Amino acid sequence: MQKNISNKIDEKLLDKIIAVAYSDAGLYDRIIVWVKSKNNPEIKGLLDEYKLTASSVHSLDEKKLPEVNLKSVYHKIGQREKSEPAIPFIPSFIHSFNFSKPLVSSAAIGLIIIAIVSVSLFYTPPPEQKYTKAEIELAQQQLGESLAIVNKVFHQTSIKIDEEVITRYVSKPLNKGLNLINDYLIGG
Amino acid sequence: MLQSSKFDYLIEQHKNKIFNYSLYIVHNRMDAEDITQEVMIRIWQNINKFNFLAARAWIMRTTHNLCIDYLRRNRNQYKREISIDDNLSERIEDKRNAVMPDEVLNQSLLDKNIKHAVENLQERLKSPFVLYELQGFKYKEISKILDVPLNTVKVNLLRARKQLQKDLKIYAKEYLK
Repeated sequence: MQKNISNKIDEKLLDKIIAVAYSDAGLYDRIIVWVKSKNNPEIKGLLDEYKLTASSVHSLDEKKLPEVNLKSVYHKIGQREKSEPAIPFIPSFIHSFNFSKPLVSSAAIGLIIIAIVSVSLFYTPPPEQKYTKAEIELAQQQLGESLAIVNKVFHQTSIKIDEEVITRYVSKPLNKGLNLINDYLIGG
Repeated sequence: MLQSSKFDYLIEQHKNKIFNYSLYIVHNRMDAEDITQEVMIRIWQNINKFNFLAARAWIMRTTHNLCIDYLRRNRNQYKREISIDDNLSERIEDKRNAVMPDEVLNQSLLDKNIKHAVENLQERLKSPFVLYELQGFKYKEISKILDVPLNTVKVNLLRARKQLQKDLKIYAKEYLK
């Protein structure tokens, strides 16, 4: 058959071309076919033909089974029709995952159960602390003293900023600068 | 309840695959529907024996075997031939308002030719081709479904692709005449 196509295209190369066209060739074969198709228009033409067929094959639509057949089957086996999910409160993806990967879902359920049992067995809540009235009063007094110290520090800081920083380093240079500008303007 | 949930899930996943495979193998919509129903009933009968991970292959193997039985039984009988694409004219009618009616027609004809060419492949070439190219099964799964060695699957798939190409060229020539 390959001799009808071309003397240069042997059976092996044709097989590779077909595999490439149907997208199931390895990287090495793809490179070989790509290089050869660049140099040989006949190979390129053949590759394009197979590619067209492959893409048409892959795009063929799937026929849907008429619903009446399902009804008939459910009737024959004496089951209700599947009008609603069998377990309505479980989302369908969990439902399908449960059946498609039973080992994984069983393992996951097992882990969850072990976690719940472990927590209930080994978890001990921290002991509740109880204080006497005298301790509470002492704590309140200490808190008041601490706040008084903080208040004093803030007050002193405020006075220092007002008197020393703003007066010495802000107001005086500012006044000096304004006076200079005034002198300059009046003088001009 | 679990039994029917499993059944619902399997049917939902595989009903169209079973139907399409049967349709390609037996060429006849009514018989394909019968085979699909029979497969579903067998799924129900075996629902508790299933290894869910291998269900896909089991279902398709059952479908394949039923199709082969059907073909053997009907080899000498009158064939109720209805093309897979017997609704082509309806589809063209539906798309008559499309922007490019010529393109729609050409695509429909190409689809029809391909389906025809696939239908007309020999059974031993057609089964691996439909399972691999149209239904997305892997070589290993096809080998289990058809009960043939892996290499046979690969060789038959390659032959099917070549045969299909050859047949499509003949269709193209006929169309151009």
